[in-house]
Amino acid sequence: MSDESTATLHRLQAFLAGQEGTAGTRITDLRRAGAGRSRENWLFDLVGPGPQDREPLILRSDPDGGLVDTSRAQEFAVLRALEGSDLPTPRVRWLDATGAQLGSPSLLMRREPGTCDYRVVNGDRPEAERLALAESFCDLLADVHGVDWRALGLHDVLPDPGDHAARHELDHWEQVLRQNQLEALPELDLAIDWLRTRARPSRRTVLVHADYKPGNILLEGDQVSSLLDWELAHLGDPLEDLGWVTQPLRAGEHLIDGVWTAGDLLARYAAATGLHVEEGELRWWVVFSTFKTAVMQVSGLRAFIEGRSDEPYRPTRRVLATLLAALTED
Amino acid sequence: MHPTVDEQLTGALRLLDVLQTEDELSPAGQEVLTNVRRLLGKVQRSWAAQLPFHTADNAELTALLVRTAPLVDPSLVPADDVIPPLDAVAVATRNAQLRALLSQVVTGLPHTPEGDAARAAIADHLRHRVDTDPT
Repeated sequence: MSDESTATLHRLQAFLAGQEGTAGTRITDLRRAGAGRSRENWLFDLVGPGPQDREPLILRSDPDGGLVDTSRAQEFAVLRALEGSDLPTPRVRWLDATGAQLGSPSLLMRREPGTCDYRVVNGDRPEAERLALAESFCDLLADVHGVDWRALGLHDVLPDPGDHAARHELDHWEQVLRQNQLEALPELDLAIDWLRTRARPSRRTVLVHADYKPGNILLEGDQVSSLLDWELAHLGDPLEDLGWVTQPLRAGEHLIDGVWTAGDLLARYAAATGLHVEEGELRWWVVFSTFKTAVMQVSGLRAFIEGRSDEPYRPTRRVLATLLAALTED
Repeated sequence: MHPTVDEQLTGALRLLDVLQTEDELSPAGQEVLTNVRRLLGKVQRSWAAQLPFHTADNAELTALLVRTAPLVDPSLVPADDVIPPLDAVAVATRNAQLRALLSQVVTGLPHTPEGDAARAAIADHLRHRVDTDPT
């Protein structure tokens, strides 16, 4: 076991010893998920006290640096609230909001069964199966947006931007950009100017996942077992998630050429939610999604240059070219 | 003359290839190695093209700012600074300065037909720059 694993094990043991319901348990099979300092996910099983008791868990800790800073406490509160919904979300168990015991702000949650495949919609499965999966992903997104966030108390955790969701999100991501940019980026300033002059009021306020993709969906066979990564979730415009999944940068993850188009997705979504969306109406959020991707890359670049991340992110030619093309397509 | 920059970078990548075939390398080590290879590969593909790219972009940026900056603030028109043409760092620094001026112009452009025409010209420049940036 590496020094890092040993240190994590000792911190976990000390933390869990102070939590309810952990008497007589022990940690087994502790290992790191992924690599590098950009990912701070540790997998382990909590075994006992009974001979058959075994709970698969994941420890998610704030990395020193990543694509974007998010709050483990907020993610924990959102997931805890969603346990009262029908959404397939992982069960959260414990939180160390300040990182006083686990080294950095951390949450522990149940490791749900299933596997992720971010390319599953365009992978090796037969076309009919891939289409069915794409449709089920669309239905799940409609379910996310259908969550009664007031009844679940999510407005106690997440601010309600009212009908100014577009401007609210733009302000937030411009702030992230300003905090992280190392140099002038007129490409992104041009995008901000475009977005600021065209922001429209939202028609309804829903729970937005904000990183909805097959790579965050666990599948058991052809069934969704869990929707993961709620760290960016917020209240906002449903068009935000629809723009995210239909943007050109993500088309290969969500759409199937000639079989499952953005129009098909919007039609099925409308049938499920009653919200009819024209592709033209989505354009603002498609541009915003590409802008947000670029800002994440800027944030990741700073983390890499400052030695807080091992992932050499940068604003890529593909993202910048897609953004500029979207701004100037009319 | 030898080893040239290219030869050194090619050599470094070859040595990393040797390391990548080591059985003992952990998945975490493999991932770090892959990132190092990506970075070195980018440097190898772009280092020689950076100076001519920045030189050309500086000329285009200066011309663009001369046309568009007066719509916002005449002081944003770049001064005729003399940059040593073979000093790659100085030319790159000048490029960053000119791009900073362009950001200020973009942020301040009026929403008038003249402002929109300037935006279109700036967008054309940026699209060309993204397409041709060797880095």
